[in-house]
Amino acid sequence: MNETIALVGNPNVGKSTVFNALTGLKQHTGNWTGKTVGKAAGTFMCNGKKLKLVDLPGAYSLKPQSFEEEVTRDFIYFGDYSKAILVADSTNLKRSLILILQVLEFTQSAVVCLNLSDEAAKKGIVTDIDELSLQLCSTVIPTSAKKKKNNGLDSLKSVIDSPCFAHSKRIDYGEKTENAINMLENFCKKHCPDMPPRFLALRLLENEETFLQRLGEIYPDSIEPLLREAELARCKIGIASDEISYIINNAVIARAEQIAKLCSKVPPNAHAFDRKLDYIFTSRLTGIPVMLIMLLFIFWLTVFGANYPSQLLADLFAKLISKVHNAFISVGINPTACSFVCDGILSTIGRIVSVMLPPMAIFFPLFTIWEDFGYLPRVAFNLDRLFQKAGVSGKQSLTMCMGLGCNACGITNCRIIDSQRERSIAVMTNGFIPCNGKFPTIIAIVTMFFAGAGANRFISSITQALALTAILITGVICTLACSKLLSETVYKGKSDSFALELPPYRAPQAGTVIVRSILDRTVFVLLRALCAAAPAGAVIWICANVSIGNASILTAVSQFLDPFASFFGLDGVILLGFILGFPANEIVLPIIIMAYTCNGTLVEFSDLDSLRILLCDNGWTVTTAICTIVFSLMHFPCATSCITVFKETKSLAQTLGAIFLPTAFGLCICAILAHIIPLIA
Amino acid sequence: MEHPDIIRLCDLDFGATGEITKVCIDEEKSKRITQLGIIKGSTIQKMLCSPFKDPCAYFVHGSLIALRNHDAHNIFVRKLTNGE
Repeated sequence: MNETIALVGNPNVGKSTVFNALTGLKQHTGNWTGKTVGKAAGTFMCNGKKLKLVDLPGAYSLKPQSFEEEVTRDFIYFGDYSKAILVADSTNLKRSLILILQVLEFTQSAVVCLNLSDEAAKKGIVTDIDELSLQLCSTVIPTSAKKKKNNGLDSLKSVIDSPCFAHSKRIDYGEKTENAINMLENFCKKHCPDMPPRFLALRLLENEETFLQRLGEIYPDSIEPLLREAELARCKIGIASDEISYIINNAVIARAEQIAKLCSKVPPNAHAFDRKLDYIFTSRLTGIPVMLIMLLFIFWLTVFGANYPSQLLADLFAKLISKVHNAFISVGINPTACSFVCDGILSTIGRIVSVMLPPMAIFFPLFTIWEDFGYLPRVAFNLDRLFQKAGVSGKQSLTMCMGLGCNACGITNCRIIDSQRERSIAVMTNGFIPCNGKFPTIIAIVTMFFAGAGANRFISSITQALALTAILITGVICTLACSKLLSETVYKGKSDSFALELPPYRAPQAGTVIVRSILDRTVFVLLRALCAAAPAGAVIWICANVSIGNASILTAVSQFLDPFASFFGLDGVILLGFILGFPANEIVLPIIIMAYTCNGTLVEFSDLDSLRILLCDNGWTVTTAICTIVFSLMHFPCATSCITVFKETKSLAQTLGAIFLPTAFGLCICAILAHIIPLIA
Repeated sequence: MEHPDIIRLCDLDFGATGEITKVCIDEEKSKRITQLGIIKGSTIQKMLCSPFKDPCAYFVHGSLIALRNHDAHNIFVRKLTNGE
């Protein structure tokens, strides 16, 4: 049985970086609160022994205020591990100590990892390791987990292997509380011999609901008498549980402050650079413009940078497919089967890869750098007023940012929102944000119909970036509107209090970022799209080439959908494309193209001009283009997202809400535009 | 107001520090705020404001925490130092 080590610390101290560095796993890290959701486990070798490492979600305290913090609390108090690595932030020792002191009241088998030492050194912050070691009676290892060499991790490994012992001086909780603890200690020892009695006495006096529930699960016979004794003790000293909670909290903070004062010297201008950046990013004058410019820049770089590689890949695939086609024919394979493979499956795959891969390979690393740097919480800070007005949490903008990469990721990240009501709203409205899968469709249509025929590549990339930004802003406005609607009707209630940490800026690790985002996100999302694309392409081919009566299935179905679809400015094929695109948004446009061309001929799809001609030949107008873009932005989420919503909420109603809301908004807006635009244009 | 020195957190000047004397937020809703150390006795300093003037960011226990004005309105501090 592998020995298990727990990694615990505040949000944002680099626990996941330590985890990655030790285990070699590519855990997703980022500089904002709540980046790690759920536990992650891995193994690493230490002096020939294999040890299991568990990375716990960041927690400000072991009194949980969110589901994630409960996960951490439950693991520390009730989980199976032999040692804990307490990761602290060298640049903010006091706050890290609050959690450390709480953990040390429970377990003495721990070692302190003082991370971000390089950041502290840059700011001129000096930590007296020996004094800290003395105060906590524990081994303290300074580390800079981000660095490749000389990062202190070898020292950490050598300490982990041997028995660890940490024991900080007892915190004095004041006469009355100490009396109550004395009253309870023997009782605790008798009923729960496995738990440190002083620790248990404190938790019983605090009377925190979820903790008592867990305790009851493990000691079902002892819980009643323990609760009675605790209530008795509280009555005897005449202090209620919430007042005791406050006393305990205060005492821990005071001790943390005392130790930090002794051990950490912070020069007055340590955070001056951070404050300068904060001013640029959040001031009245520059805050929002800087945000928009950054967004535009990321979009522009994605679009411009992806142009040439996309072309290259498209040409490559065209050549490859025609070679395969010829080879099949020459070998004598049935032309129908040949067409099925080449026109059906391969061409869809080819289109996905050439259109999707280059933008994603640029967007994801850029976005990850943005994340690592610590800018995203400032976005939440800037936009919170709008979310307040909509009756939801400011953290929703963080989940929306995640949704920009992948809606399913955004939905999982809604765990960072503390209140149940606000979390549900965030989950159900995440689909309004255009995910990476929707970009290719939107960009292609914008280029074909609005960027100008044969326009200079540079200018058209700016137009495309502006269009993407405009569409994102539309998505944000609709999210706010829908959130407001939900918080006035189904999820009535005022916003809970909102407190968000704005972490210090950290230099992003460029090299790791690129490798990690390409492997993690790009390849993963691409594979998912391909898995959806191949069968979808096959289905479309079959529908187009198999007839019922005198029309192919495809023609029959799309004609059936036509009247309904044209009310919304679309047509039967487009609607069918979205419906069949349920597994993955990326395949919508390829399906539409395939449906229009399904007479067996291979269309040169690398040329957007000829694509536009194809679409116009099939009845597309400017109205159709606009409505398709709008519906692409707002329609039912992809299959993965729907499954994720259900997994996260365990509620069918919320899953249906997540499906219905963007679709309803999308159809309404399309209907309005479909009738207005022809009047204007 | 009992003391001329005691003001609401939202009225604190930029750069000024105060010592928290009372947190009048509903207990259920104030759990996260309390957990971050915004409790009676803590020192807090107003640092930044968002473009919409709400929320504002405060330095407390070594970290920068964003708080909505609605909540800052219900936190009382005794001014310790003036801002710029």
